[in-house]
Amino acid sequence: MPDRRATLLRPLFPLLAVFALPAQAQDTDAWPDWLQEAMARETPALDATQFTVADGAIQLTVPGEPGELQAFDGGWFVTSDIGATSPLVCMLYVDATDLATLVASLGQASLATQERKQDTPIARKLISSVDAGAIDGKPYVALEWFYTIGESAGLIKIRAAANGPVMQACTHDGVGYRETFGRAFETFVKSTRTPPDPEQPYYEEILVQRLNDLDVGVGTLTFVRDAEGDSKIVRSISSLIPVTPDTLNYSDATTVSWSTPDGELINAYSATTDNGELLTDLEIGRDADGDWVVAGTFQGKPIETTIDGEVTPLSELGQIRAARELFAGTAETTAFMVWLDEADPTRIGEARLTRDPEAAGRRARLEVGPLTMDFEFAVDGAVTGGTMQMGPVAIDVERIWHRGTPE
Amino acid sequence: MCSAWVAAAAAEPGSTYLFSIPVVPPDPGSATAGDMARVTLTVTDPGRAAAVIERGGASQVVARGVDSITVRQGLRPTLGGASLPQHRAASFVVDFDEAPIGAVMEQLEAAVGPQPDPAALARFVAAFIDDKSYLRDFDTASRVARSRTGDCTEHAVLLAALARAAGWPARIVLGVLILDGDAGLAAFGHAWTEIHAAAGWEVVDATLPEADPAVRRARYLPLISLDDEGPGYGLDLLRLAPAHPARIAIAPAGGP
Repeated sequence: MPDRRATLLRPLFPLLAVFALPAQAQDTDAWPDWLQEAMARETPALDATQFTVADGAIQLTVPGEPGELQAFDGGWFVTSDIGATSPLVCMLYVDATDLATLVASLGQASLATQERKQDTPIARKLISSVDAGAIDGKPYVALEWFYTIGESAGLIKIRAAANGPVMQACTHDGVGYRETFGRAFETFVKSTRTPPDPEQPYYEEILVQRLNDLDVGVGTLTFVRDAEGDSKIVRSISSLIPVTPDTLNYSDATTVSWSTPDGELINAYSATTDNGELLTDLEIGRDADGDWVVAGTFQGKPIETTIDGEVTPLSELGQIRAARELFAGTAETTAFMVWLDEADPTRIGEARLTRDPEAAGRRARLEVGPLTMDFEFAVDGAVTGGTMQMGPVAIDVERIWHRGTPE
Repeated sequence: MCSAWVAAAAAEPGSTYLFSIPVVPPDPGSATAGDMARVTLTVTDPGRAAAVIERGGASQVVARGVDSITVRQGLRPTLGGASLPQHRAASFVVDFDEAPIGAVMEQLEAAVGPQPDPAALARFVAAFIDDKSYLRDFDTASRVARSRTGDCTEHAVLLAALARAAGWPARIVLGVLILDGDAGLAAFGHAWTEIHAAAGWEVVDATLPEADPAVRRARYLPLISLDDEGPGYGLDLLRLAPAHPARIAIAPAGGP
């Protein structure tokens, strides 16, 4: 339940802006006493209960005092008492694929639930936090909505993580309990056991995307080798971007590609959803004559084009190898061809990687057409960080977790 | 990347829009710089930024610093270049040959007649896009026609499509809008349209289609036009990056 502070709420309205992103450094001294007290509420320790589902194939631990695990179409959910006035709700999905869309949808559903319960519209809502990262090698994104409705205020906290073949999410609606919620979610994710994936990656990484030091997205990259030595490469990126204090842009993108052992692209499939709408759904592969054919939907419109088959683009495996060889040798620059994917799916263009001779470590500038971005690399050629300035916005990526070697 | 409701933004300086650009006013307490002004852009690579601006041909680069360039310009300069066949043609982005645009053209004709001038087109687009939202990245015109949603980029794209459909050469321009409003100066990454009329290219902004009492002065700083309107337009937009300022300082022009 939201917190009711009728007489104190109206003066709060002008202060609501302090919650608004990207003003992360919130001036808590400006908050009224009751709000500071409410925001500070936590539950120090939580018990936990273990459940098994899917005929014992999935084990999970729910923090707090959970009720019964209940099935829904596509998964299970449970509510749990965490010592707050409203329960923690945790879900396990077997068919969800898009982290950012899941979190955004849960946020919208939670706000709608409050409107139904109180039979009045949300008066004002503000994104008070977005976050992205990894828990034990599992990528997550997180979102908070602070809102007022009628004579009440609430704080909806949502987190979701991809955990092998399943996705897990928790929500809590109540002012305060931020740390408790984070701890509960971490337990929920860390404790879950799923059947082992038959496709064991030889390299996995998780990166975060930052806009002006705000963690807005999380990406994953996995390489799996098949019996012939080719690699299946899966890249996904999920982001939650507060474009205004009360407007959230959410997107999920996945590219599945195949690479030869030498790092040449065999084919690729790319899909992007933007605010829940499938915008891009593209394939590239060779036709019977050996030419490249790109076909599908781009920005919601059908496209089909043929590209000269003499051009050989590198896969992500090949690009990592190119970086590794650049730093292992004495050349200043290396150039290779890449399918431009989302930037221009109708082209296979040249990418140029030029090392920074002034910088310590392995730093290089990537140029693809007008795109310029500075990267740092690990000794194996994988990207460990990158940065680009776009006006007042610094766009950064950082690898925060990895396992294996991309060789 | 822009303010869809610029008047509100002008009245709300210091708001937490992600893409707002900090502005340094001419003098402490002063919020005006006259119609001609020197605009200093803080950028990471002044050489590349100057190249972008000089290629655009709208503003004169008068100084370069370690991390800045200064241009001298008026309120509504336009990019250089002649009106070309591509400025009349349908494209992937400006797809006025798609059915949804045809339907909008019928509404346009019913609203303002068969020969709309640029100002009437801008007013129509401002009213037609009734959901002013930052949720769209950079939609094609036909998508805007269907959704009636968007920020400055969608306004610029739809206006370009309707202008071309009505026979006006048009191009999409990206740059910076500096607003001198009731509450001070505010600046944003912005998109608008240039339409080629009798006197040449002119700035037509469907997000600010007519004078707003909350805005004393709107200064347009054009950086690039969208030259590649095909599926590679996302890459073409990145030409903007070197010249997109992290901060702006504005001062009176001070002579020729």
